[in-house]
Amino acid sequence: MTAAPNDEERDALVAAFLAGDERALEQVYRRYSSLVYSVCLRSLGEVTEAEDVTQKVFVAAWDKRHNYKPERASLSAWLMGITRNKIVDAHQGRARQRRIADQVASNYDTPREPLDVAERLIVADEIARLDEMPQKVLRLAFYEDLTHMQIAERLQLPPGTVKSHIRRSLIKIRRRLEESGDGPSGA
Amino acid sequence: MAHPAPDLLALIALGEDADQVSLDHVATCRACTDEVHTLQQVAAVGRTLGPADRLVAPHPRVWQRIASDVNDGRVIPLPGAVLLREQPVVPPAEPDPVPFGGLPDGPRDGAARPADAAAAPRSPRSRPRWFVPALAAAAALVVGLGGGFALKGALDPAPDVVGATQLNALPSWSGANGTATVEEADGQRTLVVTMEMPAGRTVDGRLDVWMSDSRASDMLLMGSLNGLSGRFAVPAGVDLAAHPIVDVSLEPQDDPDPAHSDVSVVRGRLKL
Repeated sequence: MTAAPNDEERDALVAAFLAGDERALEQVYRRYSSLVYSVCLRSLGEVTEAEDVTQKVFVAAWDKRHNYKPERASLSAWLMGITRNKIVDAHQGRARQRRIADQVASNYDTPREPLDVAERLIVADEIARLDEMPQKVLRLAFYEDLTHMQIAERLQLPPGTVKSHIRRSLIKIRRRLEESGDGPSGA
Repeated sequence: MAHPAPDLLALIALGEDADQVSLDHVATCRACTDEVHTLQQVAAVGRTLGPADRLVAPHPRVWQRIASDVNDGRVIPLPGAVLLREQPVVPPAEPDPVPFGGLPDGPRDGAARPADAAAAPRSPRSRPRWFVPALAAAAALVVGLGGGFALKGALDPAPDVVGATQLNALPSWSGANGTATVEEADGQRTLVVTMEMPAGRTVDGRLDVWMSDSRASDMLLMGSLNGLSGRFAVPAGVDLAAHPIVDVSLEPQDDPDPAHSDVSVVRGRLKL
């Protein structure tokens, strides 16, 4: 089983974070910095800017942690909200400085861009976190369009096992999306 | 009929064929429709992923800057493991972990120049020493800390930090940065400076560290960096509030003139 944080650990982390324990900031950074950074990198297209915005996101999250209400959103969703805002600021800053060519700028016009990117990255990340066999099963289902029977034959697994892997993996990914605030039901 | 088995709903969400009775049920049952619909959305995103859709960990310097920002420049250990999904992040190679606070060799006298005219040999590494201990060592150190945030690198109790600042690049040195902190232990104050130069930029000369007032009218030469970092004893008579500006200047290699060369590389104002 992959070491996904369980609910208790997550609650403890949030409590420590809100209480101003700096080690909690470190933990939060460990857990979410790759997601935040990758979204920034995809949206802004530049390492220096992505690093800069990532820094702003975590500093802002720390400074404004009193604004975070755990009952309203997951920490992940809250961080992604800050990330989106900082990315928008960065785009506006760019437009003011006219640092990017027009054709590139037009790709970044849609405010939904960070949202879509985050969703894709979260799904990609969850797939990568699956255990080896469920991951193989899911990849065959997604990218080679095999039926569960074909997958069972290819991997020499009982069909029931394949079905179970598929269901559990989809549910895991769905749960992660929901807790990030980008859930299918909320989209 | 009862709801179809959950496994079957997942297969339907993937677009596999199923028996008509089950399909009819799903079409008319709110709960099953919702379940299949949300799983379909997951599959839809999953199917469109491409090679660019992967998480990338940020460079360790991002954490350094965050830690510096939220701690007013107090030195913070790096998180031990920020892992890429596909491969671990390998920080810039640093063969020996170095205690925090810079190099162990030689604090320099307050305002005196080194006796020999030859400049200290330039460090072959262009990264500040405190930057990155080996990943495993960092993790072990972080795990071993009981509480508090300062790394007790050399086994001494962490000194008090009485002043700190980021050092920001002057316009023609874009990309350079650093930190300056003033530590106090046993009544002795020490100015600790570390710097980073942008890739590809070499230092042709000596980097001198100054403390001055805001108008740069009273400049105290603290000493020269050893490579890109240094520790300098702050004489007891120096009033930090009157000399809050920390300036690192580039002095030509054999410059006989002890005055500031006017070429500042990075500068900051101590928060006291």
